[in-house]
Amino acid sequence: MEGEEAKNIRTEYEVRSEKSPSHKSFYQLGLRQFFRNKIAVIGGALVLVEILVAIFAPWIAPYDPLNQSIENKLLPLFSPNHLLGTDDLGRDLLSRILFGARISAVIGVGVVAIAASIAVPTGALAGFFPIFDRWISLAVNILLSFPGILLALAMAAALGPGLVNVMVAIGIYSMPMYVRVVRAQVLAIKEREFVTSARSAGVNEMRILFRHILPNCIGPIIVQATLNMGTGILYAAALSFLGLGVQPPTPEWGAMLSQSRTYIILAPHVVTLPGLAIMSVVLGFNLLGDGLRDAFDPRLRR
Amino acid sequence: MLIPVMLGVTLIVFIVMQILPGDPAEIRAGEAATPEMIENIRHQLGLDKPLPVQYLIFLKNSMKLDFGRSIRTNQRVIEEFLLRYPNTIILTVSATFIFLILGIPLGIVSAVNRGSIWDGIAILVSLIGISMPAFWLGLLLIWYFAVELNWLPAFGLYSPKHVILPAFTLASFGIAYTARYTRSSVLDELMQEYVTTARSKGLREKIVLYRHVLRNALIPVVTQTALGFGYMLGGSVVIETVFSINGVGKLIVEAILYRDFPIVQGGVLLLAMNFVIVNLAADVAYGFIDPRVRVQ
Repeated sequence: MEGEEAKNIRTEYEVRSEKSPSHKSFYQLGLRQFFRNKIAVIGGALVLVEILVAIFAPWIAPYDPLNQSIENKLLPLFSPNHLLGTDDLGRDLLSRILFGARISAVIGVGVVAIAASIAVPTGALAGFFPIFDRWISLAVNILLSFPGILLALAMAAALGPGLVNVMVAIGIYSMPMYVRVVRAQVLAIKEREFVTSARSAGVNEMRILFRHILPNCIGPIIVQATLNMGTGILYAAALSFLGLGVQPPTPEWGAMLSQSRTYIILAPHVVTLPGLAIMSVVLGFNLLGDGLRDAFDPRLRR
Repeated sequence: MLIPVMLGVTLIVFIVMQILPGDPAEIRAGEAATPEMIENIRHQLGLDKPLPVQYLIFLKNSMKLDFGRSIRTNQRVIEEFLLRYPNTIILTVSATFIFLILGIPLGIVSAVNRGSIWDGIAILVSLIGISMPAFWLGLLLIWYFAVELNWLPAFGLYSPKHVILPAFTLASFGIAYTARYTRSSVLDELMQEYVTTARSKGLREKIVLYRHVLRNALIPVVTQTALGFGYMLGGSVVIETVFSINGVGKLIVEAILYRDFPIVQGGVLLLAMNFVIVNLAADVAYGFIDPRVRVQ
């Protein structure tokens, strides 16, 4: 009799837990929410294509992206041997765009790595220790006083052209955003009960911050990083377009646009295609970032 | 807060200029210069002094708007700047105007008709606007409206007609961003309790929207406008190059390529100061518009 009752209770518990989603973890719930959002999934797909192309470019590209053949210059779209035509030096445009995905992936990852590795701990310190907050907030305000791309431009000018320098310039430009996001998160989380209980258990302050609080900020940091990939790629293209970033003949999309802009009347595709490539990748990261934010923001969850 | 920020801005510009490759004295002296001549110029420019002293001199001169002379033209930097500043301001202010008159209504229509086909289109347009390289849009607009249709001039800034294409290009990001921002701001307000109260009083939806919701929803847009203006001030660097407009941005980009460092230094600093002042103005305006916030 007693055993049977216990069994009944367990069954009831099991039935309830199947119906209610509360036994699902935060991330399971978030993922489910994410896959319900069709626009976000499209963004994820665009990003996935970018990553796959970046990895497999040497195998899927029909030609060497640097291989010139002047007799085949400015071939139109759907030419017999060149699906997307050729540029002003007779280089295969499809191959250049595919290899360009590689450059932009490196830039996106590099920018995020540089910005996040410095700005995340900085933001955490600012949020946790009021003595650091004043100075760090001042530094953030100073960096934000440079309008738009200007700081990245000045940094790129100072460091000189090149892939790594562009990543550093845009990485520094991107830091204030991370500092703000992490600082706000830490400020909110440090008042929670588990922090007080860790402190009363004698955990030291740095450990509380970096082992207990910071892992709870990971969601907004990932969202910020995803959006930052997009802006990083966009800004790098702009710097390369101005001649301050990645230099020709590297098949960087912005540099390709800069080189072929004079041919827009003769062969519009040499200008439209690299731009479309930039746009679809940046759009992918923006959609993905927005989708992740909506999925992991409990306030927006239904 | 203003003074420390401005000091910080001058410090960053100073540091960046120290990293800039090439010895300014050598560049100014030219290729045929003897070591004595270079030493002489170094002394004249104060480049033989310790760095902190150099910074203080730079700071003092900056306050007098004295940034030295251009290496390329030997004109005073401030004169070169002021010569081109009107073009940049015309471009940036027109772009700000365009993004406000297009972005805000787009965001409102989108929020009010949430979930409708118009909302979908507005969201799509603004997402594309945010993801598109503005310089690329500029090239496409030149190609279509200036070359194919021959409706509008493509290069320079000589008449009001010349402003349309570059200003729209520069505004594209702002239109998209403002539309998104306005949409979420209006949606936030629509969920407030006072809206329910207003509706339950029997007010017409239009009055609820125009007299109650928009008044509150558009307050944050003021700050966004200032930020957008700053973003465009920076973006004008790229757009001026695309449209060959003789503005401050093109001046700076050319100066970078020619290693004309006094121009880069002065130009970047002046544009940043310009942005700081616009932001300050927006903060003050915020206090006037929103009685809940008073700037101390």
